Amino acid sequence: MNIRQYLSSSLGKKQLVSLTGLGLIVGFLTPHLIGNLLLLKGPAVFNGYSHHLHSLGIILKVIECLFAALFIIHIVLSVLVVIENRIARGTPYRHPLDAGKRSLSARTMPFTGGFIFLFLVFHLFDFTFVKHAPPVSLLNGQDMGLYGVVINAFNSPIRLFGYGFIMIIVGVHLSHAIQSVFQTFGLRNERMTRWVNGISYTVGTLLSVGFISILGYVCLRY
Amino acid sequence: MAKKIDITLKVWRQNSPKTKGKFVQYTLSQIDQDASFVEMLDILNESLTLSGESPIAFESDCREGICGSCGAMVNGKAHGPKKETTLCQLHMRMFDQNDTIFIEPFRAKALPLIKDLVIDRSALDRMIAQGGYISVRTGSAPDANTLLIRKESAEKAMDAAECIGCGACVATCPNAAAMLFVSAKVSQFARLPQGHPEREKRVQSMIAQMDKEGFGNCSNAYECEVACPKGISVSTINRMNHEFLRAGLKEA
Repeated sequence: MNIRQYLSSSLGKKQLVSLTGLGLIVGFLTPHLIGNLLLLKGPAVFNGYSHHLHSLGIILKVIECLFAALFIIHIVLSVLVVIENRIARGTPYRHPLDAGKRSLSARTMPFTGGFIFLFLVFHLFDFTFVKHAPPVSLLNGQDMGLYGVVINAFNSPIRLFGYGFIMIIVGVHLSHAIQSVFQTFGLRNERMTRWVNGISYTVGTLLSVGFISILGYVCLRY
Repeated sequence: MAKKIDITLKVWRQNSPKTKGKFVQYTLSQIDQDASFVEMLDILNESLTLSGESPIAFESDCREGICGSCGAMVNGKAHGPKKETTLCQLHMRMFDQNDTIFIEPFRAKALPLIKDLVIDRSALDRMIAQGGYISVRTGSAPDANTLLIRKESAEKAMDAAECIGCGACVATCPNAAAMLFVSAKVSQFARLPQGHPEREKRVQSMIAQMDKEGFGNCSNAYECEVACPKGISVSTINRMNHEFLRAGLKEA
């Protein structure tokens, strides 16, 4: 069995989806949350962090391309797997399936994933592809850089609640995803099941709450 | 005296793989609650035969829950509402007066329907043929205790070996995956020294055959272990994933 056969098998594909997902949680989402939380320390710290990132130049571009690749592999393989799974059933059941173990997060993985992808595109246009300069960065007539852009964006209640809702969706997606990584790589034996599930729900909730706390800060402060 | 109940059945009737199927309603009165589910179907079939209709095709053999022949979706649950039970060991005490019961065949593209509730499960046999066995020298029996096996390993291997190949895991999986079936065999042999000579080839060949048959992928919904009449745990899938990775790394 060569590497191509391995990765195109049902188990290989799942391991690749897991691995890219894990890469995105550890490499992208967690540092992104930590960086964003600097917003709570005020404009100087937050804008300083933003400038520091951009001063990395070519390194930042390489990292961005790497994340883009992880996202693309994760999404393309997931869509492929979902299509294969639909085909595998053949004739659909007329009476709905009801075994009762499947969690809400497991049930909704393709939908939460799809939502997150749409959000990602929207989010990039919101903060990345926009110039961090007046007029969007103006706060009380003062140019506040990216900090100002963020505060102004969340002045719109639709965006505030939209982002809040999506962050809950992210938490739901992750709470199934993280324990899936353990199962897919054979690290979730009977003794560890409770621990693995606990870790999965905790990390999913923490990341979700972390992002929402930023919204809460903007909401209370401005 | 056992209680007798009146029930309404909605049974999937389909004459052949090519024709269109539909639920047909039957009302049964005074069914003894001590009757098993397949005995109840026998009673219905007798009355259908007497009235000149074609009886419902369904499989059953041992009727004591060990052969794996019987099985159908009962109100959306494989083998019905009782845990770790085959359809033949499900009794009508699990149902109440005037219940409506939907009976549908196990559905998966890889396990195609033959007639009514009967499906073709030979895809499961073809996967076993790809490595669900051990090769041993023929001749006299080996000496006792030449291979020492830990109690825990023996018990876990035996738990996995309980699979009767009924197909309930495939039927109940939202993706029609055969992961629990394949993983039960893979982990049974991975736990025992007798399984080790063919360990890597087994997991790779069985999974290749599983993919070829057109079963779905695992999305870790864990529905299969709820449906399994032998209570085989999804930790066997965990072990199979590990075995597959291990075999791949060993080759590399």
